[in-house]
Amino acid sequence: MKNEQFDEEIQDYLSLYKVDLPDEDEMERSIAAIMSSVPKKKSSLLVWQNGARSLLQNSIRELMHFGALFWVINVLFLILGAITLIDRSADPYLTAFILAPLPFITGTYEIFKSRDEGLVELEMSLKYNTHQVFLSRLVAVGVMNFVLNAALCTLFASFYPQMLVVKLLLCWTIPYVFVTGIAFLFAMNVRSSIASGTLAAVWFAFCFGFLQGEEFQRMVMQMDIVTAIAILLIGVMLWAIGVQRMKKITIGRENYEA
Amino acid sequence: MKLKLENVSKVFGDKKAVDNVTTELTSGVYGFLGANGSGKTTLMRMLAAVSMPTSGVISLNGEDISDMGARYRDVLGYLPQHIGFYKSFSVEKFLQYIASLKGLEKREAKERIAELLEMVNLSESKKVKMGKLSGGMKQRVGIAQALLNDPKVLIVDEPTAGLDPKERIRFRNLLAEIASDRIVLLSTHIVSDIEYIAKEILIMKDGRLIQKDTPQNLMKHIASNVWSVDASDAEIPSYQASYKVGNITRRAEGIDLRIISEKKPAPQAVNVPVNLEDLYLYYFDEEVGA
Repeated sequence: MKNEQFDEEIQDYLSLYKVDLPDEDEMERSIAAIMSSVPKKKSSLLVWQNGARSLLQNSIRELMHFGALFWVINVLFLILGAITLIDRSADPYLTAFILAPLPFITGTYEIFKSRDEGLVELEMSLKYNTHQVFLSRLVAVGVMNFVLNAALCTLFASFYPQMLVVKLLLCWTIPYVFVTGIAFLFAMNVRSSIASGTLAAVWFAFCFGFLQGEEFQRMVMQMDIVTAIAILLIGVMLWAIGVQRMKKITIGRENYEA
Repeated sequence: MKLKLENVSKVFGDKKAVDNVTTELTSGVYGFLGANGSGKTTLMRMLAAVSMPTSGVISLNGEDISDMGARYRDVLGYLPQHIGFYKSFSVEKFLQYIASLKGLEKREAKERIAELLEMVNLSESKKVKMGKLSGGMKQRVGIAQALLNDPKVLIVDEPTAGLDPKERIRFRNLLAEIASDRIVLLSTHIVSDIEYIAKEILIMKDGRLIQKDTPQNLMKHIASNVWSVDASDAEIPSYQASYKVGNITRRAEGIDLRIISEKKPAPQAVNVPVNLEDLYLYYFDEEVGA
């Protein structure tokens, strides 16, 4: 009862107050006054440009910090490819197919090394954090692999003018996109030193079987364009899943001791 | 500069690791004290932007640190409790790499690294591979990397683990020196690390912030609860069973027990000046028997 009386008293008391609304002009003036303090929205093109520039710079930095083993192995692959040019009995399509995913497979060690060396915790607190570092290394390894393959294929095409360029392109892009997609997903869940070794062994075993089975070889080498594009699309999907999952490597660390 | 925590909580499954912490930190050294599992590390990880609060807001000068993103991390220095290193990198190369991730220009980084290596007494080991360093030396590299970007907020979790007493004092003095215009958060089990340099001590228990005050005020608070008791060997077990017993000092004339108790533990007991170890025992009785 006492509360109700009290409420009524407050209501009466408040009804005596009048709050004047500002007129349109006053509102306009206020808006104009604070407009200069409102941060300008950056154009999406500018944001994209800045992001791409930063990713490129970070990727170059990461590439500079890759271990000697990565460079040695990649040079070996290039030499191996060059040897097949000299040894004219080797099939350049097959060589391109076998060598295509190898630089990436060896590079998986570099992509996830901070996770395996216990540096993620520190990296997450840095200006360029773990997500950016992983992405930069991924780009560095991927581009490096792409450049090596492209260089090798250019050499093949110039040494063998009769080669079918489209077939050559498919011979390295299919394993490059599809196999590296699988390698990326696998390396995300396994210690990178083990992942690199296992993936290389599996790929070599597959290639050995591939070289032995003529029927299978013919099936792959004479694959129609629709099947090839379908495999490439699956590869792209694997990559997209991988990039999404990469975010969880750091989010997963939330389950940490108190 | 003001780092503000408002109702910050962190939940892992059904465990509340940090429970509704609200506090404000300004320039100076803050010491975090707490037993294992008290939530110190979780709170520090949230302050270091490594982990997100389940609820609540952490803000720097009024701006939510999760909105600040890279701008916050740019003014942050963090030494985690467990830090990894690239074993094949030399000390100098490792610091150069971290400096580049902190966005430092090459020349600026070079000068800063030389300065910090001198500061942590590792100039002569700059070419040594990280894998060849002792635990204490690695810790010093960890300290150097945290200071690379001249951070405005420095968070160090158990920084003196593995350091010898001389290095600990050196590091303590360094923190005191740099804390004049920045916020330094230091979590430790070694109470002497913060006794002389902490502006305030934050005591965490079961995820909650139960005390935040100057060391002097905190010690004053328990001044009447610290006792010195002369005892014989045979009496020690019964004192240990009934009270929180700190130091046991053997003297020529007998044994001196330091006891934390609200009531006088024995007729011959006398009140003695409090130190931070007593404070630790007072709040964390589960540690006494450890």
